[in-house]
Amino acid sequence: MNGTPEAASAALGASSAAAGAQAADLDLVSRCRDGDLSAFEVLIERYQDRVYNLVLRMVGRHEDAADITQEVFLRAIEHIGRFREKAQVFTWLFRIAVNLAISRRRRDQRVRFVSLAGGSAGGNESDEPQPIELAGSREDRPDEAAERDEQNRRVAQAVSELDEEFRAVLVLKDIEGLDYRQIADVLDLPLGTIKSRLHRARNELRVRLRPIVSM
Amino acid sequence: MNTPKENLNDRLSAYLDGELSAGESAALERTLAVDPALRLELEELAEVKRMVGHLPRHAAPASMKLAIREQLERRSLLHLAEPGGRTGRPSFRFLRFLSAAAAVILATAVSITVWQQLHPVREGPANPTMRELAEGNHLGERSVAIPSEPMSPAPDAAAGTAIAAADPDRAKPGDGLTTDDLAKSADRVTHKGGFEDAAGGIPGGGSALPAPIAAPSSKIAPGLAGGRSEVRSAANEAEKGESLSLDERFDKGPVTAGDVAKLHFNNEAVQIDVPVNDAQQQEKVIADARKTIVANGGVDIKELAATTRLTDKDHQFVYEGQANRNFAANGNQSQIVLRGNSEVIGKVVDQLQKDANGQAQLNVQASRLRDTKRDAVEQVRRQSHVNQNVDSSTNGTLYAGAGSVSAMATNRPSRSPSNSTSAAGAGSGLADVKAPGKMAAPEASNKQEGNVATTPPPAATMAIAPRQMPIAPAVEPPAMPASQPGPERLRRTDPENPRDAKVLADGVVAAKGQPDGPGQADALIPPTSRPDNAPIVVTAGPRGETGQSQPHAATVANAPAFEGQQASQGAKDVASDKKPAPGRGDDMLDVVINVYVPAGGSQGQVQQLNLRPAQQAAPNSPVPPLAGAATQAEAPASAPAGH
Repeated sequence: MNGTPEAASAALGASSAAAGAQAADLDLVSRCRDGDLSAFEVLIERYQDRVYNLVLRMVGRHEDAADITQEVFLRAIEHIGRFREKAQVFTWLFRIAVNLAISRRRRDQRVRFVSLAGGSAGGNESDEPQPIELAGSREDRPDEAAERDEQNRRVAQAVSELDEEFRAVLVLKDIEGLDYRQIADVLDLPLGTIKSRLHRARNELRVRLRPIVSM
Repeated sequence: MNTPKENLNDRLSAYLDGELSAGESAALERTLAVDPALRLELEELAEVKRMVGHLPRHAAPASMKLAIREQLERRSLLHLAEPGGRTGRPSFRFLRFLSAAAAVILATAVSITVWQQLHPVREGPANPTMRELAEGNHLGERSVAIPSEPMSPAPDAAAGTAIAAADPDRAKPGDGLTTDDLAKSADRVTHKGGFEDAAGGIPGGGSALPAPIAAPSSKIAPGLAGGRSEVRSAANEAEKGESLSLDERFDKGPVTAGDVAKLHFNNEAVQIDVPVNDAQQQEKVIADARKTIVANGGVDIKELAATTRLTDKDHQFVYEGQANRNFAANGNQSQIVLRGNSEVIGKVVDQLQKDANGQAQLNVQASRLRDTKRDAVEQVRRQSHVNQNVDSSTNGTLYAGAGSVSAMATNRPSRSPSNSTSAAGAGSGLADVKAPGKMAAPEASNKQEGNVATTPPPAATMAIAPRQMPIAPAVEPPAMPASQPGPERLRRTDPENPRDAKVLADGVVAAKGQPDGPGQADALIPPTSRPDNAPIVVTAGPRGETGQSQPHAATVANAPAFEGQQASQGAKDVASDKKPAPGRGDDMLDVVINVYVPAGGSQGQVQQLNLRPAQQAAPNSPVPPLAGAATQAEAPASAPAGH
């Protein structure tokens, strides 16, 4: 555990910032309930990237991620009255997102679409376009950038191959940076289950990625 | 139960995440100090965590907020369009319900066809029933109340299906076939106009219709058997001629006034029902509508009167079907048939709304193309400046509800001689399912365009993929290049996929707000230049200050290539404020305007228009040549109901 004063101070600062953000979110929710759609748009702006990224890592395809993200916010506004103010807005959104993503993933597994033009329309993360910022925003040598791209591709592929329940925990923790309690809140699972799943997810990745992990 | 070793391993991740208590951490660190394998595992887990954490983050598409807003508006409209305007999700339960209704319709249509095959009752074109079924707008219709003041909504046909199935007694007389009727007679089912015109007989050959069929004891509801279904005996059919769509009728040659008197023309894509208080108001409505039509480039009534025919170059015409005054059950009724572009239709609707005190009711035939419906809605929205309660889901539902249904929507052919597509391709959904090749096949004039995919998509695709039909070169607009349907399009018919649903639901953009304001759809995509069964994206941005179409760029971007191209074309038109010239067949839509005094008085709710014919047949003689608009406005008042 990090027990240094700096760390404690940073944690305190982060905590107060989070509390402020939560208060602001609750205010926005309240305004949404009053029919103020501009407040809802602020919520969208605030969380759309996180939700999108989460969903993308869950479903693996950008187009699906966009669809689901859109649906997340639509459901959120439709059910805004059910939001419990004890919860955090983003965990609520994440919960909707994870549920939708899992539903989509399961449905896609049931129904396969075959392209008339040839090839599979199933798609996965390996098909995803590389983010624009990937190569251009860092001052790496081309070979390093390519190597990193390849590593990211393999990691993303491995993540996408995890079982949904493991993947959800892993993404929420290692990509979105939620703590265990928040993850438990999102997934509505006990803390022990979260710990166990997370470890299993990482362990499975460790096995899958052994060639690059042990380099 | 985990072993101690497993428990220890499980704690490694928690240790990495700082989620262990101080005591647990200390214990684990002691173990790590003496267990190199565990240390290695911890290092590898840490590396895994690092690698996952370094996966690039992706930002949501820039259009996300706009897309959400559009969806939100659309859903809110869907809510309003539902009875009671409930505030919950519009839910895909509704879509599923309609999908199920569509499946029932299909099954029933097949059953009827089989039954007819086993009991042939007439000679003529081989079993046209399927096509008639398909074209008869029987798949359900959505009554869309235009007025700001809510009025009793016309029953949703598809909903009516279920209602009738569950409680036949609730079905209204005249709403549909009776199973008894079917069983007792060698009848044919035609699904054409809702008005059984009482004129009877083809020109020159008419005899009176038999007495209307008694109110059925059990029914097939409108959505099932066609809200405007009729049961006719074979003999009656022969006497009466046919119930044809405008396109079909025009394919047979010039339409005379007498034809109009004998034929139903109310199976067109859009019907506007205008209840009026009395004959006086009726005439005013008719006269105003006609003036509006003429003022906006419609054919002068006098010209029509002079020719007593509707030209087959009928990019735009107007006609008042006098024969359709003969509806005792519904009071005096007049009908205007209009084919026009968005401008004309929109202005006519505007005028109708004014005259009818907001009581005009737009019925869009669901079995027609959803594009047609979209067009209609869009036209009205654009032009009439009314805040509509538009449920755009009906077609989308039917489209989305079953791949078999979705695959069959076809484009309304242009009436342009130079762009003459087959009338057989007009909205022949069910027949298309039954015989896709047949229905999709263009006629000779269109064959040169070739390359019409008449083979249904493989079953694995759930028959979703639109055919690759090269877009027929329109008269003037540049031909849109055909594009290959990408894999994503194959997924477009999942109604639970919000994106699919969005496209399937006609792409109707929320109609709230100011016309031409941001977020409004402004472009009409010419139906005739649309690939067969092409998903539609209503797009092209607002007619804003810049004339550019940015707001909907995202919608376009989300669409497959040719949609974007189509939309872009529309956007160009919008941006340049280009208005389709009257008479051009690009975005023509057939509209039937029924002006009538509702049964039970003017204050009653709008009646369903699938009425029984009056017992007394109309005169066999053709309707007198049309006089000028003014004359026409005066004359019909004397036409007694029941004729």
